[in-house]
Amino acid sequence: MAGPARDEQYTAYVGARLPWLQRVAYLLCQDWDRADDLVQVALTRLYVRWNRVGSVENVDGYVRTVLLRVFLAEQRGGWWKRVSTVREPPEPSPDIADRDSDLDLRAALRKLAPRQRAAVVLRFYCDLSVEQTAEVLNCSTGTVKSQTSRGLAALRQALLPTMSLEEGTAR
Amino acid sequence: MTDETTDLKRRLEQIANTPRQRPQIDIPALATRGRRKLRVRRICAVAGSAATVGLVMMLTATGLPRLGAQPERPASPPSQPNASTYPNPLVQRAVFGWLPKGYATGSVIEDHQNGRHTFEAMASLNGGRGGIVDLTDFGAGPEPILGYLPGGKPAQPLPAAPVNGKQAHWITKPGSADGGRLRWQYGSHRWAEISVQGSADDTGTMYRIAKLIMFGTAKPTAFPFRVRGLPDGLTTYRSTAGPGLGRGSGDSAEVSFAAGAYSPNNGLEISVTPAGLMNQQLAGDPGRKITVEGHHAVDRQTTSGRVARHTLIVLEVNGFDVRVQASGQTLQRLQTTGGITGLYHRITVLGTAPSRWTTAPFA
Repeated sequence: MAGPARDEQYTAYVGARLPWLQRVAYLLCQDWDRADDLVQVALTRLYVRWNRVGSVENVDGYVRTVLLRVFLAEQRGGWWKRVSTVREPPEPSPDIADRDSDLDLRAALRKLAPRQRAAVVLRFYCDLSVEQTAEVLNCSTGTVKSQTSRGLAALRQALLPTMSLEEGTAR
Repeated sequence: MTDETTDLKRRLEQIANTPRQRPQIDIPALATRGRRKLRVRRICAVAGSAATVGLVMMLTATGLPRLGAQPERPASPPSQPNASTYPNPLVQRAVFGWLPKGYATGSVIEDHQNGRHTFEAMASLNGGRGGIVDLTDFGAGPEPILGYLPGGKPAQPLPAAPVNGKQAHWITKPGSADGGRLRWQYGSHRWAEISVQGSADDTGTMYRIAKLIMFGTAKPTAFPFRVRGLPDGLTTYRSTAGPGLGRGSGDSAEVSFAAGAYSPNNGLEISVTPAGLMNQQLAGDPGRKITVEGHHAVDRQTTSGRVARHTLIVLEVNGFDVRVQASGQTLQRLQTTGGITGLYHRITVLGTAPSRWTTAPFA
């Protein structure tokens, strides 16, 4: 694919899907600046492989898989390997009137092990099936089920005062 | 989707939609960075090709085997897959000798992935809401790495009193944000770990649990199904059994096999979950809706990136939903014995009464 056409297609895709990718990344790390770092690394890789993306049926799925793997690789690599790809530190996020329960959930998510958090986000935010989640996380469906089960159990434990479980009502 | 997961999804969406002050990502700059990476990659590829040509010429001149050459061996006809029997895939080699009041034992897992033979057992209070105790027996071998703490920081061993006279260390201490994790050596080159959350998260309780765990048991798990005629040459990779695995309260079980190395694109998974759970997930499934032996079923066959995958989900068979899925080389192996559908017809679901279950599910 010629350079200008490639750039045009890439820019159009990224422009349309950037907010969605940032939201997924934010759920994974609960920090907008880190989420931007993850998304930038994933999108740079997407650019490099853009020629191959034409044969992929589901570009969203492809880039989400890249994002998840960047996130998990960063977790495995430890904090010293994180790459910040912005030249200057971004402005601090504005104060936001978060609901207490959202703050609780954010804190509870942060406490989950990275793969558990990824499984919960993929299953319940991205609406992926167990099989699709296994493909993204490069593990067996059994691993996805147990990671999800443990993640949910840990969230239940952490959210007991604010999240009603069986009854389906949020207090 | 249950009320609980619907509520979770709604709240995840709320969090993800938290407004931002301004967009932080410059798309043209991403393209520039991508172009730079491509240039570097192309330069490396050209340099690598030149080096490879040089290496091949040198090996040819010295008479060494060519790179990628097949080893010489006598010709033999390809082996035909035969129906075979397999031992119980989930033998419980450790059991809790004591648990705090109200805790019930739950799921068990045997895992042969990642080069270790790991066994895990979970116990929980009020379905996990009151607390969780998770035991991992890492099997024979050197001590595994401690892993990483949430946030990516490598865990460091923290001093701990011995367990039954053997060395031990904390990975996280009780009362920390993620609950306590205690690792200890229970035999020569044998390590175990418990992690707890909730009401068992204190030093005294954790030590009492750890000291009274019985290792070396060999209790075969009873499965609610029996399978005949699995092809020869499969390896068991992971087996799970117990309540909660299918996100329900009833018992579920799953066994994963593979011909060759297991991966998401090469394996066979046979699982049962309490009837009704799958039905909720299949509402929008793109697979063919069919009937198998009078039961509603979904048959899905896909090919993605040259990997074929066949999934058959049959609903409400003797109190369970049954799912059989195979992909890649393992699916090819199964084709000689009737494929996924043929395999399903050789599965007998034994019902929900544990007294009818079998400890020889693949015999």
